[in-house]
Amino acid sequence: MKAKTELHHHVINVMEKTGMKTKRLLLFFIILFAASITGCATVQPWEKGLLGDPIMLIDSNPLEKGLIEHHIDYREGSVGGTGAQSGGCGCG
Amino acid sequence: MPKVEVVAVVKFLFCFFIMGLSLLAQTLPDDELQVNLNTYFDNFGVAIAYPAVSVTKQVAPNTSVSGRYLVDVISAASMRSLFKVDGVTSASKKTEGGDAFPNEVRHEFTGGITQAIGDVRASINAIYSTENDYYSRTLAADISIPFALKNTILSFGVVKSWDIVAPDNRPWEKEKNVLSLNAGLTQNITKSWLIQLNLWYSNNTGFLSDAYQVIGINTLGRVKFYSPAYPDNRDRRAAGIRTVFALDDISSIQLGYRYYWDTWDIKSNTANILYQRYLSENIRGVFGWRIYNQSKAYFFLPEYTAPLELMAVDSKLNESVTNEFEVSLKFNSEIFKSTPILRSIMMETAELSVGLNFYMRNTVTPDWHSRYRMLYAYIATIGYRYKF
Repeated sequence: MKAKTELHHHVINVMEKTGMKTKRLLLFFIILFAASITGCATVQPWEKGLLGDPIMLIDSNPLEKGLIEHHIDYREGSVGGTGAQSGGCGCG
Repeated sequence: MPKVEVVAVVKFLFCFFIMGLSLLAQTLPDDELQVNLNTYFDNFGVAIAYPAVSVTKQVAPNTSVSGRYLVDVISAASMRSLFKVDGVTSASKKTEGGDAFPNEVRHEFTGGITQAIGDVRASINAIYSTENDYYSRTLAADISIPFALKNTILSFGVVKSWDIVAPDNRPWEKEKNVLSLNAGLTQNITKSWLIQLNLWYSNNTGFLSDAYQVIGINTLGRVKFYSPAYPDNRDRRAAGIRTVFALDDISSIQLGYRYYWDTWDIKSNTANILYQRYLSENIRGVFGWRIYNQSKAYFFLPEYTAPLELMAVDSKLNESVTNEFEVSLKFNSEIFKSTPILRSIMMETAELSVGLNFYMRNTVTPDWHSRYRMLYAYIATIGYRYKF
């Protein structure tokens, strides 16, 4: 039983060290994404009227959004993963 | 910044740009002028105003250039720390005036070029940010490639920053370098539903600490002050998924989730929901809620009884939960046709937006400086966007 527990800890350590957690997360997103697009019909250009409307754009104004979220960089420990990119600054 | 490294990055960006040209582009960004004024106020006594102006102009059939100027004006009533520098914002060095006058001004200049050929769009941006105790030079490049009747868009981005940290209270200058990579995939699922996946990686090296914060350690009845000490390397990763779908012809819901993890042991979850609706033909309402939680950095402690090799007291490295609410209204020019002054600036394609965000961050232990656990902040925005 003890050996089994040690093996379990060892496997967890190895997984963490080799970035298995990262890989699992990536796999999850890929599967989720694949599941979402599987079977979806191709949207023809003449059917994209609504997709081009401001209410359907994920970032309808990236500049404005970046400015509104400016404060978050200095009040939280994490950034990224939202598609936005910015330069460095040491401001408050 | 090492010269060899600059040359290597410039070469890389050039190749990246040429690659964009050689592939078969989405439309260029619209020609537009944007003027934004944002303000930030919180219960820690910090007030910030950051106006920005940006222009994008097509200069050739497939080429567009852009420029932006932003100013950060920080006025901190909490200028009470030992180094006479605001411990919350790191604002330093009064420019002039009394206590109510801004403590620090930062200027940021951005210039960029976007090239479209066929269905591929590539852009390069250079950013220079300067303030009295911090300088940053950034090069950013991104490319987006559409497939399948533009129903799938693959995008890649790279950002490299060379920063110089030169605190007022220290005789030295130190470097900080950041390299970030981003990959995104956007897919139209139906004519009223799309989904986006983003992966992000960033490597930060150099001086990553804060020279203005202090850690007081009580030793035998006497308090001795130490500087925080952070690791000089940080690998940061994030994966996010966002989706937006129409509820009907006049409203939509956007849902997003992001997982973040780094080598400082911070892990975070962010979820957000955004509801957009045309309140009338000329007014669009945006209502959002964002919830965020994070674990603490492995070297963070709320109190220290003895100096350690690595130490941090900054609340942004502490375990916390955040809620943020957003309300904004966007008006098109039609609504101002009978308004005397606005009528003259609200041309046919202009949009005026006003918004208010309410931000609440609750840390598990009090902030090192304010001693508050809860941070409340109000972010007010007003923006003018004119497409010409």
